[in-house]
Amino acid sequence: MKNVLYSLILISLAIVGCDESASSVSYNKQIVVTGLIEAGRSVDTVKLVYTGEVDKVYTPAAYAITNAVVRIVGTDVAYIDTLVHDPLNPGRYYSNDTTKIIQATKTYKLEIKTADGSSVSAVATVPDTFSMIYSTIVDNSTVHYNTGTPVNFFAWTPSRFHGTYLPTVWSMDSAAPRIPKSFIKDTTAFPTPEKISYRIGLPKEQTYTELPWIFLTYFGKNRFEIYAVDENYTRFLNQFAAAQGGELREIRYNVQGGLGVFGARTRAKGSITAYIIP
Amino acid sequence: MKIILTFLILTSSVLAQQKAILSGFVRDKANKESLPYASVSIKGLKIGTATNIEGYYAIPNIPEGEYDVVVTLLGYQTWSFVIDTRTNKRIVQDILLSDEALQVSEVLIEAEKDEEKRSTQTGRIVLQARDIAQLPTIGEADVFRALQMMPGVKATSEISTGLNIRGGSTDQNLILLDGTVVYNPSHLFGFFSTFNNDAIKDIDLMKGGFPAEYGGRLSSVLNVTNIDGDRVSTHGKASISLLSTRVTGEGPIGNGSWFLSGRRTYFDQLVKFAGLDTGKDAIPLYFFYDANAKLNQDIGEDDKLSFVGYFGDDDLTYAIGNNELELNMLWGNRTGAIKWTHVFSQTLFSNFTASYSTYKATIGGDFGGSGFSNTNSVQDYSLRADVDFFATNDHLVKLGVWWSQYDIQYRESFDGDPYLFHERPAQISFYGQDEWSINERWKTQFGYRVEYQDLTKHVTHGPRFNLRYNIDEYSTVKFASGVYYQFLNAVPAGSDNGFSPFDIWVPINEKMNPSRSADFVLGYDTKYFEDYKLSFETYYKFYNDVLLFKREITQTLNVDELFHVGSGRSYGFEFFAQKQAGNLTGMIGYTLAWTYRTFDALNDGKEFMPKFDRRNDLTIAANYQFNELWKISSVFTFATGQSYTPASGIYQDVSTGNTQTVIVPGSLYSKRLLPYHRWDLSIHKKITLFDLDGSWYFQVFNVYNYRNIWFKNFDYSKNPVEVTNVKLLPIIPSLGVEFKF
Repeated sequence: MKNVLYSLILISLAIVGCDESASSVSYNKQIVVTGLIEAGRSVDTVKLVYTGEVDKVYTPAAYAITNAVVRIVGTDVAYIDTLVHDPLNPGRYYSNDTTKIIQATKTYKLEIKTADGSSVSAVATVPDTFSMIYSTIVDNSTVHYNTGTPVNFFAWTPSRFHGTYLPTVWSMDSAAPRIPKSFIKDTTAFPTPEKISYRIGLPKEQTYTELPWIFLTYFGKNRFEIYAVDENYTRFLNQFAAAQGGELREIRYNVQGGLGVFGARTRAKGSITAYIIP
Repeated sequence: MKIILTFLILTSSVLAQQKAILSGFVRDKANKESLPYASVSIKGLKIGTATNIEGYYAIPNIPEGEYDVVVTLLGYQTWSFVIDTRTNKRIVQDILLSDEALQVSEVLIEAEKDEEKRSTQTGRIVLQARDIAQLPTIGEADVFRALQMMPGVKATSEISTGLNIRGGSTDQNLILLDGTVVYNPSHLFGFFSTFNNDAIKDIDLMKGGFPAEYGGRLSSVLNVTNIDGDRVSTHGKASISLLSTRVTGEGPIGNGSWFLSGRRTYFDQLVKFAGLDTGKDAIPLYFFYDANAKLNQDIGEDDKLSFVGYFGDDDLTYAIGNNELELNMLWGNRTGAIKWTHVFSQTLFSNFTASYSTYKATIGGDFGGSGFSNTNSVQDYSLRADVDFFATNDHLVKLGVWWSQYDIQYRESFDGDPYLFHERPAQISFYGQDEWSINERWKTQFGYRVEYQDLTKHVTHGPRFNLRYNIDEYSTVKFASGVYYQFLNAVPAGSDNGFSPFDIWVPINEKMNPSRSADFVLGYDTKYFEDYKLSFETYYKFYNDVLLFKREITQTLNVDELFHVGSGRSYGFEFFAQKQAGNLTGMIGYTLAWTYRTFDALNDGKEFMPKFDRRNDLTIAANYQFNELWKISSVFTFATGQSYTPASGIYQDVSTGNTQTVIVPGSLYSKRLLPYHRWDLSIHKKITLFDLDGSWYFQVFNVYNYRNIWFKNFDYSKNPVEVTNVKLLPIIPSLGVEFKF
């Protein structure tokens, strides 16, 4: 009798155990916002697209949101700008009023209303202005590629309302050959006139950095700049970089009602251009 | 502590004068190794005790008379002797047990029954090296792989030795090697554990309700005890498998014993021999080695000194082209301890231990012309005192103190741009517990543990409670509950799949609370069916302030910014059936479990089942001894598929200046891979060659070559995104040979 009882208990438990509660997740269409406003400039781009289905070819134009009402509103500054859609670049909204300039230390709200009635919003505070104060190379100098030694040392005055600083390298010469790196298989020149690389992960308080050679991709003319970027964009970049590849991971977006990022940045006064030669 | 000791010594002397007392050590007859957990009972009086981890026992307050004393231990022949307390009130009797009775069913059953009736511990798994060696596996026997077959113990994959126990993460297990904490017990990126099975005497895993003498982790305690060494004769053993060569030696020295064991893999030597370590498609050179050593000396009748050491390293060198890309990795553990065992009186037994443990990983190289290095290390200097006071027949009191000074460093350098994390927290813990045999049927254990960490100034209080009721001669019901705290957590920087060399231990800071768990365990054990032991256990566990690494690019020095802080719960049912006698032996383990976590910043703040949640786990293991020479072993494993996060959408991000595909994850870990199943086989044969006794084995991992799924891979470079199943290991045959000398 005990044998039968034990067997029944085990069979019952096995049946209960087979009842998996995992939900079946299907395609969930969402609005994706990409917007980065910059101090001292009018709004250049707020990009709006829908997410696509994972198992189908994704072309941004096919998923572009072209008929939304997109406004940037200052929350602590008198500023309202209704962006216009760029028909040549579906999904891109920009300011056609060059007098509407984004100011450092001010907070702006992005308001979006799509044709189907969906509302999306996000808020960003623009970091304070700051300056590049020191470099081991001077503007328009020539730098010899030297494996193992950092290319440059930069310092800058501190900003405010920022999440991190982004030392950024712009490759200016599309015809220049790649800097040889064994792990990079692609040796073709870049397809666009400018290609940037930047360094993420600097502590918020750090106001200096060296740029390892890994951040320079091409010989020829390179421009070095420092951006102070807000907390939204900092968090997005840090999570975005870690989420590429491997297990799928959440990226915490600052966009209410949608995905993506609405961030702000301030470019340091001054930048340096150098010629990297083999 | 000194005052307490003085009090206990005086008390024990007074008590000892009133009635008779019997004490001593229980040892293996063949090699004089101490035998923990042996049952010593006095017939007719229904009183008794079990030997502690040093093999010591004491039974105070024995009335005047002549009695039979019976000593039993699983796998050993029962031993009995007569004492006369009318003529001798202070009897010291060391006992030697013979293991000749391994296949005698009746003796095993009696030993099992005694053991179950004495212990209040729930969720306990005790394995001996010979049990582990019988299980078919890849390459060679491994402690962690054997444990992963047990109910309540899960692994995130078959190529990981990380242990997820009753809903806990892999860093929530206190792993002790001869009493010293081991921080990263893995070789080969987590494929093997650091513990060489040839060096192990036994392992003792407590999955929950663990006593107050243990703390600092939320989920479990794993005690690995190495062999002391043969006190009678000198001998050794050499083994060769496809993975490594292992050599052990042991023997008597002075008034004690010595033991040495070492192993090394030779994959790197084979690669070099074949000339595959150079050129464009060079194969990385990799090897690991480890060594265990132990020296025991008796200093008189009441004192014993033990010196214990372990060291091991993994070494990987990887170069491509003309040294354009170089990677050098070196990681390993070192432990060392000096233990003084002192018997103050027959009723007062003590251990004083000074130990050192460190784990260090160094990764360096050159990446596209930019040099980098990364070093992380944890050092643990500990002092520990533990006292067992056999107060009366009914009460065994344990007191102890454990102080640890940690030195934790993480250094990162990329082209000379340095980053350093360095903390030196200290922690002190006190515990006390009383094991009270209320009567023949009821036994309970109360304990309390207080812990203090100087970085946070937190004082934690962890009560522990165990209760046992003997229903009848065959069956026992047990209940246990406890509160546990954890101040150190591992940042799983390298992998979600258990231990990796990149894992960094960090202490919580002043902005954080120690992680806390509380469990309730109810168990039922029975030996009602001859030759079979059945065990049922159910548990419920809460977690508070539990941490989850954020997995985002950061260089913050603030530990509180590295983790999500949340809560969790887990519950489940475990069934374990074991047959330990006869030609056919084996076990069936089944687990039905649920694990949940909640973090504000994840899954919209909603509760989710983490990756190591698995509903069903079934293991069926069987050994059949054909005759003296041949033996076959088989293990079948079935488990619910591992959970993963599905994709709910896709878009292309342009915010970074480059166009990159982004996959939007769906509900966290809401889908499961296909169920996991595998069958392994091994054949062992005893042989004699050149007058040396030995054996060879042939084993097949994944006999029917079913490629279980490891994980879903999303290829971002394809449009549409290509989703593929990355498979686990195929059929892998291996063989090995072992000789004793």
